[in-house]
Parts: sequence; C-alpha cells; structure tokens
Amino acid sequence: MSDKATISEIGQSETSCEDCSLFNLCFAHDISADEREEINKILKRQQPVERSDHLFHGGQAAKTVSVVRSGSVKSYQLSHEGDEIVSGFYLPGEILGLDALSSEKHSGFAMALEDSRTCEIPFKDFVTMLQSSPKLNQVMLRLLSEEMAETRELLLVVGRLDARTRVALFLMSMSRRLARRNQDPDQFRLTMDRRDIANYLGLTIETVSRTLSALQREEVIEVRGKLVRVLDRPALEEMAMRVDETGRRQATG
Amino acid sequence: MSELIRPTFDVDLIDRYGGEGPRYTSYPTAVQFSERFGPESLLTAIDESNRLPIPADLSLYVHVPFCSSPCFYCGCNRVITRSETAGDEFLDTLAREIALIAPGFDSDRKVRQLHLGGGTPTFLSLEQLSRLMGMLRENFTFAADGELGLEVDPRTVDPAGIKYLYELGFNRISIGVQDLDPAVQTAVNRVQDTAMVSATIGAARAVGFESISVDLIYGLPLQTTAGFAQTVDTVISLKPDRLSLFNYAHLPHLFKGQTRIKTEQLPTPAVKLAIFRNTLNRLLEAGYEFIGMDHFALPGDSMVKARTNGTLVRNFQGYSTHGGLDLVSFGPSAISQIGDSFAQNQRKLPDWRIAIEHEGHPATCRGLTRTTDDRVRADIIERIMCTGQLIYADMERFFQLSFRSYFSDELQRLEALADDGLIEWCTGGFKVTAAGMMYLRAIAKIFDAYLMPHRQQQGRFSRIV
Repeated sequence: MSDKATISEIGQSETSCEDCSLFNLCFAHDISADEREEINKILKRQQPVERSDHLFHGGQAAKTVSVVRSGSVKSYQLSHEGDEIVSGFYLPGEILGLDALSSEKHSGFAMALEDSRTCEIPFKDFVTMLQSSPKLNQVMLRLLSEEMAETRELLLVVGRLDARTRVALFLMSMSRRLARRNQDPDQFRLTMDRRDIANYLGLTIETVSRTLSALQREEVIEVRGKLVRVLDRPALEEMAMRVDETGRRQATG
Repeated sequence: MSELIRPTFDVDLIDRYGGEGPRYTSYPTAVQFSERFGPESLLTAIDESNRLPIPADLSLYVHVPFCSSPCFYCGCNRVITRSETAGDEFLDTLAREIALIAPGFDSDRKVRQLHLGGGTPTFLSLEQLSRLMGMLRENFTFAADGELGLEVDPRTVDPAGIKYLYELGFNRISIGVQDLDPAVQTAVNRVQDTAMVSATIGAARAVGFESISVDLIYGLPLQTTAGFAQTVDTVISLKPDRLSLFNYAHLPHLFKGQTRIKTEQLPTPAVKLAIFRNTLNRLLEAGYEFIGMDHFALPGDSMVKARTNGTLVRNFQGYSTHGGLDLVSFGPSAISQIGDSFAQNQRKLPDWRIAIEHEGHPATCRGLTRTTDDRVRADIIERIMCTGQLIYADMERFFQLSFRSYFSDELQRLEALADDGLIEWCTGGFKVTAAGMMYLRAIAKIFDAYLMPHRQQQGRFSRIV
C-alpha cells in the first residue's frame, strides 16, 4: 500500500475489503473469500485522483481496473471532430475499465469530477483471475449486462424523449444509485458540470437549466448550488416513468 | 403573510448592544479579504459559476467614482473633479473592463438587476449614461422585467433628465437628500434646496419610476431634533417608496474628507439618540414599515413584500429584493460576488485603469473564497438580518451539521441577548423581538467567527445605533 492512501479524509483507512463501508456495493462482495484474499494482496486502496485528472485515456493500454471509493468520475468518448461525448457517471462502488477487457485498450476516457479516491487492481492480474474464477466471471457478466442495459436506456433517452423526461430520468438514476449507497436518495450533489449533464442527455445547457428551474418552480425539486433536494418524489417518478408508457410515442425533444 | 414587527426603541439596551458592528453587506466582511485573491481567481470563479446545474442570473453594479464637489460626511471611494474629459476616459476603460469579464458568463444568464452607484453616477452626462447602458446591453442579456436603478444627485439632473433616465430603462431611483436644513447642508458642503429635491421626486413619479428611494443621514454637524424633524416631515410629504436613515460615522482617521467636519458642531450622543428615536416613531406613524437596520418602505413597495415573504437578502448595496444572483461589479473599488467568491477591484482610479488598460486583466486586487463554515454563518447572518428569525432545521437541510452542537458556544452567548429581550426562543429556533429589531447587527455578530474578543477590530466598523 502506498503512503498516500493512508492519508484518508474518510477516517481510518481499511486494510481489507470486508472493512470497507462500500463492501456491500462492490463487486468484491460477490466473489469467494479466497478470491477476495487474492485481490486484497494486489489491490491498491484509496488512490487519490485530483479533480479533472484522468484515470485513463482512450486508446491507452489498460493498466488497472478501478473501483470508485469516494468522489465521482465521468467517462467520455471523443467524436471524429474531437468533441467530447459524455457516456456515463460513476459513483462510489462502481467499476471502471471493463471496456478494455476485449482489446486490452481503453475505448474511452475517465476523468474525476471532484477530488476522488479509487481502488486499483492491476489489469493483468485481474484478467488472470478472470480466466481461473467462474465466480468472478459471473459477477463481471452481471456488471457488463447492467452497463449494457444502461447504455440502451441512454440511447432511448437521447433519441426519443422530451427534455423533462430526460432530466427526470437522470435525477431518478442518481437518486436510486445513491440510495443503494445508504445515502439520502432525496438529497444529493450533482458533481458534474451542467455541460456534462447536457452532453450526456443530448440537450443544450440552456434546456437543462431551464428544465431544472421549471421543476424547481413546480416544487418537485429544490436546487441550491450543486445540491439537489427531491421535494415531490412521486411527481419525479411519474415524469421518469413516461419512458415505458408514452415515451416511445413522444416526438423528439 | 405575517405582519411585520414594528421595532420599539429601548434606550437602556444601547450601552450593551449599540456599539460597533459590521453592517454585514457580506460575510465574511471586506476586512477579511486577502491579496492572494487576484484576477485569475475571479476568472476561475466565473468559470465555476457557469458549471452549476442552474447558474445564477446576474446583478450588475457600476461604481462611477466622480463627484464635482465633496460632501464632507462621505466615506465612499470617489474622486473630486470638474474635468470635462474624466467621464469619457472612465467609460473607455470601463468598456475594456466589461470586455474582459462579460464573455466569461454563459449567455443564458440574464441580468435581473443593475445599480449605478458612486461617487455620483449623474456626474456622467445623459449622453455618457446612454453610452454606458449601451455597453452593458451589448455585452449582457437583460431580463425584460429587470430592476434597473441608480443614485441621483438632485443638483445634477433636471426633470427632463429624469425622463431621459427612465427612457434609458431605469425604473428605480435613489435620491441623496441627507438633511434639508440649509445650515446643516452648508456645514457638510451639500447645498440643495427643498424645491429642487421635490421637483426631482415629482418628475420621477410622473414619468413612472416604480420605486423612489430617499437617503437621510442623522448625526451630521449642526443637526437638532427640531431641525431634523422638519426634514423628516417634508420628506414624508414627498412620499418616497423607500427611505434609508443612515447613522453618520465620524471616522476622520479613515475618511480624509471628514476632517473638514468640525467636531464641536456634531450633535451629542444624547441628541443623536433623540433624533433617531423621533424619526423612527414619526416614520412608523406615517405608515412606513421597518425593513431592518436603516431601511424603511411603504407597504406597497416590493421591499416590504420581500421582507414579509422571506425573500429579502443583503448584498453590498444594503437590502435587496432579489436573492440568488451573482453580483458582477465594475469600476474602482467595486466588489463582485460570484458564487462563494468575493473579488474587489483596485480602489484608486489610476490603479484600476493600469490593471485594465496596460496589464490587460481584471482589476481585482483582493478577495476571498468562502469556506463551508463561512457559508453556514453567512446564511445564518443573512436570515437574522433579513427575516428576523432563525430556524435551525433550515440550516441543517442545506448543510450537513447538527446546529445545536456546531453552534453550542453561540447558542450559549445568545442566552444573554434572550435575557435582555432582544430575541425570544421559539420551536426549533429563535425570533428577534420588537426591541431586538434595532440591534440586528448585535444579534448577527454572535455568529461572526472573525469577531473573536482578542482580535483588534475597534474603530473599523460604524456604531450599530
């Protein structure tokens, strides 16, 4: 373990995954004790990443698989014109770098949205373990499948839904994921820029802010700085639910 | 809608709570600004402010630093000149300052407020003011229903000029009256007869200004209770929508111009108190509501509405009806507040000009970025000053803290104020009483982390009453 990782703001730095407060959320929870033992030996815990620093770049040979320990990370691709296309946001307990499993190169970029910490598993060791562990394979398949489902939902969001539904879906997704982390699902910080949110949802920055302002006026949410409070959860859920009912019929927004 | 509390004035409390205190137009106050905060820090703060989910709309301030003659009481940053070219030269630099700063703001951030202060904004000719407005409108997007105001020296603008200002888009006007007694006016070097003041207010009302505000100052040389009562009665008859009653702070060691005021002509503390008490009572009797500190307004005015429904805020211009805006300020000594950052420009006109014209960067010379502790305390102080009450759960909602343990020292120190009847405890918080309304700053001060007893602050802040 590096010296840096012990300078933790979160309190005492854990020495094994079982001690980690995110254990229940992390893929490490679902593998066998022996495998965890293995990972405990090679894992670099709580590596600090400063805001705006990259975890990896697109095209780069994969060195590690990372789990967000604290903070948040965005992933993005570059278009042929060199424009950034935001593809996802990663919260504590979520795993990054699986995009490199097939080619051993990262297909996209990952950048910290705030001062964050990650747990790093050397990529080669991870691949070796994958080859010998059916349990780890199973867990990875599940994670990849979940990520695929989310990507499909994003395609739907960007392609077909009106601005309100897109924003509501985004807020609900953040809220749901935070709730899983035992955090208040009705109060969370949006650590990404509004440009990132707009880019991710395929909206202009003006539309994102206008939509959030409208939701605030209707007392569905309250926004203060980066902090969002959900005031009327049923209303927000209903807006997001339209995906399944009328969403497909709605004109592009 | 709750009834506004009408303050009572308890002279017995004045020894204990009428001492010095910051006016809390910001927290931390400008005393805490550091020179480590420079032009780069301002530009970073602007960039950060665009990134929020809902970036704040804007309030603009322009400091016009000129006066053609010195009012001796004045503590503002200004240059006394009769130069014909000063105005245009100032606007040339201002144009460059705007060009350095305005493009940093995303274009969907609308200007909801504009205020011109000084100095004397109407030192500028009507053509120059028109040029100034053109510059601002070219570089910022103005909301259709924005509040556009300026300070007017009645000696510099005639009724036709007032109409022209309205046509430029101004809908709020603030008129410096101070005192109508000719003897006092001579002693402070600001002679303007009542007919002139009355004509200015009349013209502003006739052309449709939405809010007309008048400033009075008590504690000026040669003031008497009878003389000031006469001024107050005349002003009441002119029915300004808002009225500010400032306490003259005689600090000649800080403000050179004040050395020309003869100390022996200043009213005694007892006379000052009597003037204040009489004026307070007279204004309340005439139907004015007390907003807080030194501000009064008629019931129909937006400031009374804001005070009643809890949307009143404090900023560098005093009380304001519009919260949640980033303040972008131009001109020498002007202070911007972008998100949690304060940035003050070079105070002196030449230094301000050199930074912009020759060095080509914003003229920021000092400032600070608030810590989380600063933000909590700023919020608490603003609530005390603007709503007269504090509910702890409101703080806990936005800041992750347990109010009673985080502020246990402060709550203990508030006990003495509760015993003296300045505040009363209520469910989950406390309320300022009618007697406490006169001492809002003394109550707010309890939460000021920078006012520890060991710090030397004496003589830097004006008296509370």
